[in-house]
Amino acid sequence: MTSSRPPAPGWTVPPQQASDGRALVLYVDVDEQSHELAAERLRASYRLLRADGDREACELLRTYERDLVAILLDVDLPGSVLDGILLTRILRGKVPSAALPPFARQMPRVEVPILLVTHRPESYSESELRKYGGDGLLPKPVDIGRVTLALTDWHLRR
Amino acid sequence: MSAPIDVARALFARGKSYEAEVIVMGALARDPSDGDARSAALALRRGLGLGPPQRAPELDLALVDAWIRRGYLVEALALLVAHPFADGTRSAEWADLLGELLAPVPAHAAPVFVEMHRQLLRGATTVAMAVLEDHATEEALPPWAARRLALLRWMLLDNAQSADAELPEGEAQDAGPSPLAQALHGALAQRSLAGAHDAASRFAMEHPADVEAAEVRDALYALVDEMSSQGQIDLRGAQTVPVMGRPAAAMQLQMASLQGAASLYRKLSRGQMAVPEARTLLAAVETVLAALAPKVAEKRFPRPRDGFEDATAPLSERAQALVGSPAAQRSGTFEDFEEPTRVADDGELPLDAFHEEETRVVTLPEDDTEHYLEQSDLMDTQRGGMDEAVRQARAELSFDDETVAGAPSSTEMTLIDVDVDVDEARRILAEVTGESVPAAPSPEPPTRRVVPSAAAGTAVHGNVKIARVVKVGS
Repeated sequence: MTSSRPPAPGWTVPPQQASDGRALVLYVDVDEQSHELAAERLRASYRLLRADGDREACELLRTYERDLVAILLDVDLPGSVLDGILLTRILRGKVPSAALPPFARQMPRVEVPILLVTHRPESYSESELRKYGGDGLLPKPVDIGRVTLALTDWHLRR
Repeated sequence: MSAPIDVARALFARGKSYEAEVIVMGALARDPSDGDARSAALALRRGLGLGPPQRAPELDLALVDAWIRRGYLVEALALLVAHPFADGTRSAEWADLLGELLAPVPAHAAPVFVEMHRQLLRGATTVAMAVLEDHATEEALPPWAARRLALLRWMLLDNAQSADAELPEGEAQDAGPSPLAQALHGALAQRSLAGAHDAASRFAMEHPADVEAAEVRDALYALVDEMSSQGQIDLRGAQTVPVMGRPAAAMQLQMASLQGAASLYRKLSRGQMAVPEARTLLAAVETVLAALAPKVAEKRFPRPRDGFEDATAPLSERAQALVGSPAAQRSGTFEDFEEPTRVADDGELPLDAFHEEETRVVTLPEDDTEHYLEQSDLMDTQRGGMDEAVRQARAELSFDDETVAGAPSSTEMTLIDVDVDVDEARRILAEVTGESVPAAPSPEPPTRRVVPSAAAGTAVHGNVKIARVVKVGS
């Protein structure tokens, strides 16, 4: 999962073995250090599934969509065709499939909360991000208190 | 303790609108009938925002602690995330623990865990703990669930017990559980009121004179009976958990959560809808709680030494005569004395006299220095109990306080500290007067030296010695 090389189109990531039962979260971020920090800070209650770009994120979502409790997306996703905001809109079914690159077509419409993460939270309007389908904006590096608070907010609003 | 809505308003005023909104949502989820929370949520939904609180709440860790004890976990987490606390390490630790506790359960978790999470979010922490404990009796909890159960116990039980045990500073070290409380501790730690009843029964049999033990035994019997009459509540897969009335209180008893049971019975025994049995059950719970409360040991004076006779000195004849006198009869005892109280006249309270304190500088005339030094010497001698040493010193140096006879007058003076160098003084005196001076024991070194401006006479050394000033002509 930590390889920087994206999986080939159509390739399906094999399911992970021996889950310890913690809630599974997809963390999409090209920054290795941010991922390691997040994994360390969240590991008490969350198990992170990491994708380092848009292509791998789509593959993992096709495989683990039913197992996820949340998705954490970097807003910028440098080096990817899709940024976090566009990926959010895709996962909420707000973008026509024909307008997407092949690896992002026929994506499942996810219902779990999508939290956008960034080093520059002041640069984005949370209300705008919510319009695109996001459920919260978190500063990087993320910590368990903020992530859980955002997910709690999502649960309370349902 | 500040209300969550007040805190939400305060956070909103500080620009923490997101956390304020979560607090409002948490309060509403905990109590849907909360009018303040409903109106605040409505205002937020309409984009109106929240007005400032009527009274600025104190945002500190004590508030977070109080919220956690009451089960306001969502609100506590939001406050920890929103507000920078002075004790950053501790607040960060609490935020992490609450973040772990409130985290969503895995996607395919058993319904019992989903229910546990739902109860946590709506503030029913005790129910959430009961759900986990009940499930743990049937099958082993997964590690993450076992961890949350431990966290819940820590937050609700251990913290509550430590809070109850808090004593004023200075008395804490004297506090300790009574033997009866120690006997009950094991069973209560295992959440077994029935076991506590057995322990109390044994203790009461072993200590038949202990009235409290018998009362606690009877109280525990009544509580165990109440648990049985309300039935064992089955929480397995329950979508609707009874959290009202006597069943809810009985559930607290099942977990040996006496504080929780007392709180519920207290509510049930009030108002027009009061449950008749609630008052009796509340008294039973409070009896047990009182027995478990740490006892403050009596402060005792140390034992007298061996051979010490506690004999009261006999009154003198005069005192004995006064005891039976009419004056003594009239005066009564101190406790009987009551000072008559009346409204004071305006002139009796010269409050203006206290407004300014006048300080006057007193200048010590130089000519009187010797006098004041002597006065100082006298006072110091009295304080130090050194009058005997002074007397001896005066006797040793039997000189007149006059200019030595035969010595020529001079404008030059030599001050010899005879305390320091008595031999030198003796030598000079012998040289001037031609008489030998009796030898004196060497004096102790002075503790403080004061050199007077007087040309002759007695000089004073600190608070101990009298020195001799000898005027010697050149």
